[in-house]
Amino acid sequence: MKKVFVIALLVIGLGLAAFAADKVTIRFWTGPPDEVVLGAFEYFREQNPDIDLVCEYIPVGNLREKVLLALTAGEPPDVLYDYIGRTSAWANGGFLEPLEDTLTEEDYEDYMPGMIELNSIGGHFVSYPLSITFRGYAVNRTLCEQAGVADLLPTEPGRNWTFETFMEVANAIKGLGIYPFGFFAKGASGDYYMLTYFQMFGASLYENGDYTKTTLNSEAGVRALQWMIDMVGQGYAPKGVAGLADDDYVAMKVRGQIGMSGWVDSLEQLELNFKNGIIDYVPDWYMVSLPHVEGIPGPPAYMAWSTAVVFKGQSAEKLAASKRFARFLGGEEFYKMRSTPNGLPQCKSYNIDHLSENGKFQTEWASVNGVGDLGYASPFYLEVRDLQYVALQEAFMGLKRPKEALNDFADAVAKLWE
Amino acid sequence: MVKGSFETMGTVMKVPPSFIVHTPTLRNYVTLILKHPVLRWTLNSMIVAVSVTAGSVLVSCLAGYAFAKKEFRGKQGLFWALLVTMMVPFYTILIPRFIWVKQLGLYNTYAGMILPLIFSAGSIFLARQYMTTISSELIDAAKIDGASEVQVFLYIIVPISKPLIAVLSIFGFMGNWSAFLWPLIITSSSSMRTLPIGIVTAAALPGQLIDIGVSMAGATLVALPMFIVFICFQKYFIKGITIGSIKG
Amino acid sequence: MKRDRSAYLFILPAFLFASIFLFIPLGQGIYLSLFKAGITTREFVGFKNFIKMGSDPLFWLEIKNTFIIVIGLVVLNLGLSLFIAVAIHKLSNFLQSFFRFAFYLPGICAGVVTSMVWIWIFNPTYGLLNYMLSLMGIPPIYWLSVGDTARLAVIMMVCTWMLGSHIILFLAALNAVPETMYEAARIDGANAVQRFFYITIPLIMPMTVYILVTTTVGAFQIWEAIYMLTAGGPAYATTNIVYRVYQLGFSYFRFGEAAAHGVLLLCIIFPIAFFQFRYLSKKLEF
Repeated sequence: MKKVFVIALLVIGLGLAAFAADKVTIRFWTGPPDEVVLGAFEYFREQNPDIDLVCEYIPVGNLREKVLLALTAGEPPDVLYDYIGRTSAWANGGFLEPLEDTLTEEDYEDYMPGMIELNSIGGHFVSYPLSITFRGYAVNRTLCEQAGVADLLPTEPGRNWTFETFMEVANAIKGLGIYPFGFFAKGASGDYYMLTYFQMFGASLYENGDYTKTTLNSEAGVRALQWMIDMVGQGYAPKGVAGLADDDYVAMKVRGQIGMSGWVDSLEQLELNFKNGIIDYVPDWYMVSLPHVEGIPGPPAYMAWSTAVVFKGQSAEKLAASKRFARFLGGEEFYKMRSTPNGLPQCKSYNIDHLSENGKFQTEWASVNGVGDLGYASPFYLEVRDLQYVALQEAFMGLKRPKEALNDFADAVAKLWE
Repeated sequence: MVKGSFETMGTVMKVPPSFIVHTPTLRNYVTLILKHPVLRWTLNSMIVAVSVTAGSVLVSCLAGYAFAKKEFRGKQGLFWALLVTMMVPFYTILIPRFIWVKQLGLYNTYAGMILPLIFSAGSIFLARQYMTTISSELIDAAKIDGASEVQVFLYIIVPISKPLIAVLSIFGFMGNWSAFLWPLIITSSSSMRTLPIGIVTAAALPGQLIDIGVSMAGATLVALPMFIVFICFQKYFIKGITIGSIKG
Repeated sequence: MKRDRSAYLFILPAFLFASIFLFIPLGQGIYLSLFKAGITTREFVGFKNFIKMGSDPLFWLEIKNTFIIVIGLVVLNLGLSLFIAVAIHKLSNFLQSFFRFAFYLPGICAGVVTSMVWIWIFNPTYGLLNYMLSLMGIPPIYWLSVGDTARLAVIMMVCTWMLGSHIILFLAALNAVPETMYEAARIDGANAVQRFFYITIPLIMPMTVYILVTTTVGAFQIWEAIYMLTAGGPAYATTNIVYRVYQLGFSYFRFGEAAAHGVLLLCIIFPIAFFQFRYLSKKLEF
């Protein structure tokens, strides 16, 4: 009897082992998820019973450190879902698996213009973009109504307006005793925001994807920086720019102390603050196209997005599973499940009925004008970003004239490539 | 200004940034506890903090006693070798230490979280300083009476060092209870994580926002045991514990 | 020197832990300064990293910032904590406990809360500090936007963090001085000032040395405060050696150069700590 029992156990054990062997385990790292995202992961598990998805959630501020340490120990995660600014560093280090073999002809057409290029490093497409947030320009329409200039705001199609009209609205808001805009140059995040103002004058960080040389110190760039400094001096923006960070700025924005701004993803915070009675009203943020001076072509859409990436060094089996999961993250299903009112789609074909008016406008603009290049793909992305902020700080502190600060910045960038 | 910062911290802990107390609600605590393994995290923090503190106090007292009261070859050199460990930036050590601990197979284990943190040059230094004030005559007298080294340590040094042990325990516990970076790096599963890490993951909202309420509730939970520990050890600081401690 | 063999046993556990978890990584970390090191790449370059470090325009600024912060912090912290401890020392046990508790508080509030609060305190428009200054008729100071005040802000913040534990330590040392000493001195006709300088100070010297050395060494190592408050700015005004180590290593992946900075720091701190200890301990021999 005992023998039969033992044999039966063995058989069952083997059977289970065989079954377990069918499951491929992939380790997935990302920042702490919310309910919706957790649900999406569950959905993926149901749809793919042969994949054992093991998730590890790491606070976003420490994600980079942890991946770095894992890489030094030779054991990175299989799939990572993180912000492009960080994953591009891994791509530049050659740690990511190329993904272009998963793209079809339609995909190349479908992605937002410029998206594929910006997610390709070293000639390979390495990251699926998702969770796009748009950094265009937004105006607090409620304040404009109060100031009586709401009719000056641009309307469809295209919501275009000139720099002059922009300054008129700014003056009106200033008349209400509220700062029309704000600048910050302290910290390294939120780089797109200040670059937006440079873009208004036609200056961009890089041109034509050439990362060895920055073009921020062009005449337009110097003009832009000078304008910003003047604006602070004339009271259009809060002083102490060198010491203000995007957080301080958002804090002022959500308290209704700033009239125009670079992005609107703090809407949730606004709702929260309104509920808690910190502010008396939820501003009606109205997205517009970037005001720009005469003679500048339509500026591109600066965006920030996260990516799903796959690390090299996996067995063929795991690689296939990892790619499948990463594709899922970067695909339409996941996008639909999250459906936030301002979450832009990465592909033009995605359904955007759930988007707010602003969201739809942004999508339209991005599809036409393409995605702006913030230099994520540069191997020196972080260094350049830090140097950029130092240059801005020096200019706003009055240590250097704008032209000098920007030229020194350009020199420093060139030096990185030696 | 200093006093102001204390008050502010107190108020901010309980209140949304506008510094007006709204209708107090337990909702944040409930959310926190129901949706997350807070109990497990607390347990982990407890295990780590207590183990590290206990180990550290023991090791430091032993070493401190030796450096303070014993003469031996290489004493100066060895002492400074230990202190040198305080003089290098943490980030220089981090990567090699991580790789090494991982190679030892201690990744995602309690041992991995606890062992590297036990050694504290500062504690040894403090123990030494304190113990130099212990009267040598006491020790000599005991030895003449036939006490062994262990007996001297246990029955004379330790009782006299109560204030020292109290201080080391408090600071040790404080530091290790709220330890964030190392436990985060060396663990991979939520069930092994400590409370401060857990709070940060719990308070995260979509779009990189922080649920301030939950974050504050968590911070209070983290602070609570430290209050308790402090209060327990307070009595060792009372004026008057001077049992033959001063030389001369 | 009498050889007390048992001593080695006593220090064994400490050295065991230190060797495994500190000396080995330390050695590896320092060794790295001779290489040009990326995440997984390594190339021997000898002293090139040190030369690069020395010729970096940032080099002298880093050192200057480091020293400003260290001196500022040590002087402020030691002076303040000693002063407060002496003041509290005279009070009853109950009050002492109360104050001990009050000063212990900031040490507990760590993490996200702390950084938010402190950034708010220094905010030029609606921060606590400028508000209090305005009550005294002083115009707003742009704390984090100007180099000097930014460094001051860092010093102030770290000072309050360390204050609590230092006060507690000084109190413990003060409490350990037996009343009999003071009695005897009083009988001999010594006044308060004399009692303070000839009895109190020498008797709490071991503790003072400890606090001085650890504060100094700790001040050289300040990183988190800078990361939270100023991100090394504005215009590198608060970038000290340790911050640069982090930046070079973890932001730019230039690990060899980061290690070189680490060696630099070690070479600066060691002689200073050594001489502090030596000089003050000598004074102790009585």
